[in-house]
Amino acid sequence: MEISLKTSESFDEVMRLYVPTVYRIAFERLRNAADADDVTQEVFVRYFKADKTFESEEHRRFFLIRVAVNCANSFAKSSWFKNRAHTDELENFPELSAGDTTADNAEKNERSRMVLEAVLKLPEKYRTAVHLFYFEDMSIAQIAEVTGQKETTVKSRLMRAREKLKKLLNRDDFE
Amino acid sequence: MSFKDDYKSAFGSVSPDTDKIIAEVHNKLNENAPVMIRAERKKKPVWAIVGSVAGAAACIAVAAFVAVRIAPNFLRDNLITNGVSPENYYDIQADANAAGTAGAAEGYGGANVNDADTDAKFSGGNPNMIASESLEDGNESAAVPETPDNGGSDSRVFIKVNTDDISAAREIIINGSYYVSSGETVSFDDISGDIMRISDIDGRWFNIVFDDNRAYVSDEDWWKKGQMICFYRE
Repeated sequence: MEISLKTSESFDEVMRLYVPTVYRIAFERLRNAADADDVTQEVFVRYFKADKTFESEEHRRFFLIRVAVNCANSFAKSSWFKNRAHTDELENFPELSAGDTTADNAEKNERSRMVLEAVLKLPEKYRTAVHLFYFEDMSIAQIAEVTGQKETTVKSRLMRAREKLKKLLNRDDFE
Repeated sequence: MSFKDDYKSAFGSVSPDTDKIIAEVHNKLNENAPVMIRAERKKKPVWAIVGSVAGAAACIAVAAFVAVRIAPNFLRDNLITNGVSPENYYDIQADANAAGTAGAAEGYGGANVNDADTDAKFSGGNPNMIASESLEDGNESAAVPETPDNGGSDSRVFIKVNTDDISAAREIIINGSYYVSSGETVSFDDISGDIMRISDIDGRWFNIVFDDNRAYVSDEDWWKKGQMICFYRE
């Protein structure tokens, strides 16, 4: 069954479902919450204007991820973004810096914080592949499709990203 | 926990303000919504249309007038004649045609071109030309008009030597002027024996010798069969 904006659920429902996905892709690319907000809005404006028909829900998800990757890349290339002073956004995530103070959760938060910091320290060309692979559970072929890269490129970027993360986090459980 | 679990946990905590983003998207879409009601185009009044047409016609007329009447004269007077005073410049081809008619009517060999020139004036020649004669073998001079129309204060008479080769005429056109001071009573008899030095537009000088009321082109290099010697009044 084909799905389109006009024949399926409302636009707001689609946004509510996919805003977090799009936002996180924008955030790992731009490392800034306000910029990620802007890119997310732009992605859904484009989605609305495209008025595409999708073969399946997975098709729609991939479409939104592809638009998010492209929009975030375009935003990162803008002169406004390049010439602006960047701040450390990790300080703005209370979930990581405060919250539950039990020993287990404190340890978990600390580990998450280290992982997040390490990934955000990676060169941008590795970050998107890592995020799509580990967070969105996409295969190398799917990542290649949505980023417009060759599978071998995606594979080598993931491999190099793991090597860097191994050094940064001193761990070896990246499968 | 594996790296993947930690990563999911870490990025899972990166949460947007979904409601705010949805509201902003709606705002953007409303801003970009096409305006459905367009302002009605103002109708042009009839007088404006008529004025536009008339204006365009006037522009075309002015452009045509400049192209046909002003530009050729300007070019001829300022460029083609290479600075020669326009009042001394005459249409060589018309003169040559006129003089040719005159010559045919009267024949060569010392013909009195004054009479023939009357015809010439009516056959398209320069109305200021008062005499002309073609230089031919046995007739290498032109008769100087005996009674130039130089009455009153207008005592200037011009002499011009043309060529029969019209295409080359512009290059060797002679616009020499020989004139007496205003107010003097002079007949052409008085200039007999004088030498008038004139130049072509390339600055080459040559002499016109007046003798026995005839004008000779004295320079052999310059003399050419078929050339015209013409006299004009101003």
